[in-house]
Formats: sequence, C-alpha cells, structure tokens
Amino acid sequence: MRITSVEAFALRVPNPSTEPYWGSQAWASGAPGVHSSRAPLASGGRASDGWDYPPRWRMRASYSETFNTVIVCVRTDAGLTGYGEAKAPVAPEATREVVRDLLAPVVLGADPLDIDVLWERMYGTMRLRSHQSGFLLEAISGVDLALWDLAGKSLGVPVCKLLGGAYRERVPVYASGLPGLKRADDEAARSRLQQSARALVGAGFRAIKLAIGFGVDADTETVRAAREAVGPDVLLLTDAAGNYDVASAGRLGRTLQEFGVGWLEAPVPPEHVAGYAELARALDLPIACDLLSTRYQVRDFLVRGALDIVQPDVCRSGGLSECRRIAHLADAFGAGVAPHVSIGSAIQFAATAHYAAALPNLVVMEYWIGENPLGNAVLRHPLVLDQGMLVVPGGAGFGLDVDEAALLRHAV
Amino acid sequence: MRIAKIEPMVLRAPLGEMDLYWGAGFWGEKARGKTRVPVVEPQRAADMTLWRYRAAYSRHIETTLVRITTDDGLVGWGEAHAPIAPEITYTIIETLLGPMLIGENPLATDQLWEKMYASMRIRGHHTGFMSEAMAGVDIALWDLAGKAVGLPVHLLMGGEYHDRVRTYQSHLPVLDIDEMVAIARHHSAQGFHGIKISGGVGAETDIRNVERIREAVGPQIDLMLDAAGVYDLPTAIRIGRALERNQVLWFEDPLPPEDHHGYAQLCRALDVAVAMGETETTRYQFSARLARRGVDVVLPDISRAGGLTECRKIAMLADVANVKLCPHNSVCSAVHQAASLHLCAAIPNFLMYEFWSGHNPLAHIVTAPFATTADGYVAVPTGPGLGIEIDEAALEALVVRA
Repeated sequence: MRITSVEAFALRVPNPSTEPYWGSQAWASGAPGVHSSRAPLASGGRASDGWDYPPRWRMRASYSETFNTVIVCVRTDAGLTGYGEAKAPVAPEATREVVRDLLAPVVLGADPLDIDVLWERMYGTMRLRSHQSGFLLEAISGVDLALWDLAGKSLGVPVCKLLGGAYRERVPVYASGLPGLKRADDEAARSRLQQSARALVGAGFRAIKLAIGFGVDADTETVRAAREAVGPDVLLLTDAAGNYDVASAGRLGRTLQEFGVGWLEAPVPPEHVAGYAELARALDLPIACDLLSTRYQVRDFLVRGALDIVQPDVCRSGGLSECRRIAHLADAFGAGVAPHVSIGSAIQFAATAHYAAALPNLVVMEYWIGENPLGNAVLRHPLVLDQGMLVVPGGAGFGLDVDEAALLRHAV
Repeated sequence: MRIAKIEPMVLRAPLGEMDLYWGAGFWGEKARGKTRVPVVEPQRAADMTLWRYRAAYSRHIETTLVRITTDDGLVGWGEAHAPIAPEITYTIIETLLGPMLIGENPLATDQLWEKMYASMRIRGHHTGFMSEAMAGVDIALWDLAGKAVGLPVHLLMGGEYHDRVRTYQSHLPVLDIDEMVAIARHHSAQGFHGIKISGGVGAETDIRNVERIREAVGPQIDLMLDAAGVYDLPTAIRIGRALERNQVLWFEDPLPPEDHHGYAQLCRALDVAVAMGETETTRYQFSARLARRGVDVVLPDISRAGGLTECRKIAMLADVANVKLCPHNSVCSAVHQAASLHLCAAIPNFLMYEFWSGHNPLAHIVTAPFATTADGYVAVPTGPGLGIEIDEAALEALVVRA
C-alpha cells in the first residue's frame, strides 16, 4: 500500500453560538468577540495601568472570531482515506502550507504503515532549524493522525488496539470549561458561574475545569463559588494559563488545595521550568502543563520533578506517535496523562478518545462543551457522550464515518 | 508615527551553477519518497543513526522579507530566515503578525516583540516558524527606528564596539577531500580569519578532513567543524579530541539539539569549545543551556531567534556567563547580513562573523552588497537604520509572492 495523495484544508468556521470561545472570554484582551490582538498596546501594555504583577498582557493570546482548524486527508492506492487534524486556532493557512510544502513530499509514495519512520523523517526536515514546537509540530500531528486512521482502516481494527489495547471502552472526560470571575465582588457573575456549573453537573459531567488567572482573590472566589454550587463530589480543575509568578501561584495553590481542586494547570509561564519544579515540591495539589510539544520538552520538566500531570494534545504535540511516547515517558516518572483537547473537530475528539483508551496512566480527558460546528455535524454516526464518559468509537481506524463534504464545507 | 503597512514577500532564486542546495548533498535527505533512508557511508556502528538528522532542502535559494511602511512614509526592511517553504512565514506575517501591529508605534520594538510572542505563547510556539516570522518583523522595526532618528541600528542598541568585523568563511561543503583542501586554500588566500568545515558525515571522515585541511592551510588560520547535530556523546568526545590535536577553534552542533544533558557533559569533557545556537530561538532556551554550562560559544541566527530584540538579550545572557557570540548567517539576504553586522558591532562579547561566499543572489538585492576586505573584515554599515539601500530592480527579479 502506498500513499498517493496528501491534502490539507484550512477551515474557518463561523461560530454557531453567540458566546465566544471560552478561552477567549477568559484570556484575550479587549471586549469578548473582539480579535484580541487588534487591541492596541495602549490598553494594556503599560506598567502604569495597575499594580498587577506579572503583567497579564504578556500572556494575552491571539484569538480568532471564527473556529479554525486544519484537516489532513491522506489517500492510498488501496482506495483508503485517513483523516487527521492539526491544531490551528489562528492562521490555519500557515499550517496548511507546512503540510503542503514541507511534509507532503516526505510522505508521498511511502507505505502508510511506516508511521514511526515517517514521523522521524518529518521531524528531521527542520530539526536543525529550531522547529521543535509550534506550526511544524502541529502540522506533523495532522499527518500523523491521518496515518494512524489509515493504519487502523487498512487492518480493520480500531486505533486504540494498534496503540497497545483498550484499558477502557469509555473515557472519563471533564467539561472544559467555565471562565472564572474577574472581580471577587461581582455577585451577578458569581451566580451565573454557579448556574453554569450546576447545569454541567445536571448534564452528567463529573469534572469541570475553570479558567482562572485573574488574581489570587478573584480566583479563590471562583473556586469557592464553584465548589459551593457543585458540592464535594465533583472534580474541579483549574487552568491559570501561565499568568502567575511562583510566589503568587504558591499562595493560590495552597488555597485551591483547601477546596479540593484536582490540579493547577499552567500556573507560571511555560518557559519557567524551575518555577514549575518549585511549585510541584511546595504544593500537594498536582501541577500540570498543557503547553509542551515533543518528548524532549516534556522530559526537561519530568527530570526536574516539575510536573505531576502531562497534557499532550494529539493535534499539537506531535500526533498520536509522539503523544504515546510522552505518555510512556511520563509513566516512568510516575506522572499521569490528561490529554489536552481545547477545541477541535470530531477527528480530534475521536483520536484523543483512542489515545486515552490505550493509556495505563490516564487521568481524565478534556471535553469542550461549546457548540461544535465540526462535531457530530460532520459525522454520519455521532460520537456518544454518556454521563461524563466519552464512548470510544469502535470501528476501524478512528471509527468515524466522516461526511467529508460537511467537514470541508468551510475550507478557505 | 504609526505602522501603516506590513508586507511580507517571498524571494526565490535558481540554484545557479550548483546542482543541489549546498548542504543538501551531505546534510539532506537523499531518498525522496522512499521510506527507508539509506545510511550515509556507515563506517562504524556509531554512524548507523545519521539518517535521523537529514534535513529537507529546497531546490531554490529562498527567503522571506518584510517591508514595513509608516504613516509618514518611512520604510523598514526585515528578513525571516526561510531556507525552505518561505510561503509559510509569509502567511504567518500576513495573517497573524501584520494585523496585530497595524497602528502601533514602530519605535516600541520591545513591547511589540512581547505582543507578538504573547499571541501564541500559551500554545507553545516558542520556536520555528513563529520565531522566524517575528524576527522578520522585528528587524524591520529596528530599521525603521534607526531611520526615524537618523542613526545606525548599532548606535540605538548601545554603541559601536567594532566598526568592522572579523570574518570566517563557512562555504566548505563535504566533497572529495582533495577538492575540500583546494577550497580551503582558496579561502585562506582570500584573507578570511577562519574556515568552517562541514561535517557530520561519520567520525572517521570528519577527523580525516580536519587533519588534511589543517595540514594544507597551516597553523595561523582558525578552523571550525560543523557536525550538524548528528553524533552521540562518546563519538563527539572522540572527534573532539582530534579537533583539539588540530587546534580547532570550535566544534559546532556536535549532538542533537534536544540532548541538553549531553551538551553539558561534552563541554566538561572537551578542551575545544562547543558551539551551538542555530537550533535555538528565545532567551529562555539559551539561558537554560548557559545556566548548566552546556555551550561555550552561542550562535543564534538573527532572522530566526526573534530578531535584534531577542538576540541582544541572548548576547547579554551569554556575556553574563562569560560566553562569546557569533551570529549564524549561512545563506541569507543582505538584510539579514546587515542586521547581524549591527548586532556584532553593538555587543562586547562578539567573536567572529560568518560569511558564506557560495552562489547567492539574495546577497545582491542591495546597491552595495557586503564584501570582505583583503585582510578579512566586513565594515559595519554607518547609514541610518540597517544602513542598506535596496536595489529595487534586483529585488523585483527575485520576488515571487508579495
């Protein structure tokens, strides 16, 4: 079997909801729905703006008004198609071009079952040029997922079996997520947060992640309100998106522990390995980080005892091939895996479910609760979420029956 | 003064008299479309994994330039290192970086760098295409800043430690050893202060090539070996010992860039300086290596490692660790060359300037292309900004997307 075509599609899908993406509600600058990076520096780039340290604008990500992603289709001379996805929340055209200009020539003509060999060759293309994260790794992820889907389809088995077997047929997921309170004294916002949290529990979720990073007081109030609303049995998780320094993250972490929070994700900026190590030692609460690509970056944290939970993203960190290696590496250090998803199409959800099913050290998988225009809408048979558990699709490959026309409708 | 327009452009030139991109023959993938890549001349067991480090090379000479125009009509030029697939960095600048900087004050170079970096920071984009695209924009901002105040960039960056820079020649591909010796003799006669030998094709070959070239050029000139990150620690130590015997100045990229621990051990084991940096981008990456003494000479690429803003910080961190800096240039346009020259002029720990003399139309897009003097120096430009004047006709001939 030979690969005969590799196509990448940049998708820009209008947001079907009136609500902007939860991450942009929490961590973008400017008004909700406004392209955050268009906000001029004058609105948040000056020390004179306030007493906040570290300055939050240094962690303000660019968000798009549309839901963007890149879909990769790999086809073979046996008539099979594998679907992959590369994370591309902004500038998906760039990721598409990485696949088209750089990776497709490596993969074309190869046997799609040589997945690991092809991964090394794709990574090798730019290894000596510093490309150890970012657009290249996201693009490799897209091609790698398509190869795994193809491998499963050609052998007639689900991908989780190829990954070593299913530890579980249903994967525990957490609801992702609820934007936290920005001011400790906002009563209306507090009761909206509590209502949303209760609604998620009512819908069957047993774990909820809160977007924090708005100061120790506001964050404490967020967790207090959520805990009050959902009671002691729901797992509450927190993501600070790198907004703190070590001292304030430590102070916050000790408070979160009292509310039984399950982990503190990205407490400090991702470049600060020593800060993660210090927090992991100082706190009982598990420390997690969703910002790392490749086994090498993860290793640098693990050898320093800087992480309790790793959060690789199959569409960003190097695909299933690399995420599997990351999981095994983490296991050797006694760390768990909570696969990162944030927002993605049904392909990412299914690929992540297969990954999660095959992990001995799974903690819980992320599940985006927004209205997903590329979720079941692009499948002929829906993915099933049942009482906070995602059912691993059972067919060959990722087990999806993809409506390709619907999936690619918003290709630009 | 406000930024009015940010225009990326893709430049693409034919390879000319070369039949392959200069590094492709020995550092490149040979078997396009074949899954199992043959090992390149495995002479020892240690050479069996060399194929893992074979890079993709272009069939052209190419790069991405950035032109930024202000509302009062000033124009600044920058370059994003893009030896292959420059459409990718073009797209990042056009789609992501450009829109977020329109309307900003171009003199706010540091703040604008932070703003660009923040846009993808929590998505882990600290390296690669993002960093290269940012470098292109950043260099153009410095060019603008210099033009706005009528000063050369190095004076804005703290002063002129050097008005000309000592150069070494890096165009010595892996060929038949007699050919390599002839090229080395030629470079030596041209007045260069150093010659970098391409390696990483097997320990025995690398050692023999260095020995033969040292014999041919005599003891006066500095020699370096670039192993393109392919060896493991014991092999690198064995090669390093041979380099010490041949008075080699530095051993570049001896190990895969991810092997941080190996680099620290190698630095302790060897007397010859261990150099690396073209695989690294931010001050965070460099500071981690410097803190554990995993590098003796840093070689950041100004059009990859975040531009002048970030490279100046990297130079400062290196200096704190008593480490010298030589910017990686390789095959690049005159815009990148100029930016590198200004950085070298403005830092106290500059060591040597890389000059690559192979066929390179990108170096000729200015009215006065950079050249070395008979005694092996390049003069630092003194005009405002980067101090270069774009030759519009020469540029026009190479632009394939704008």
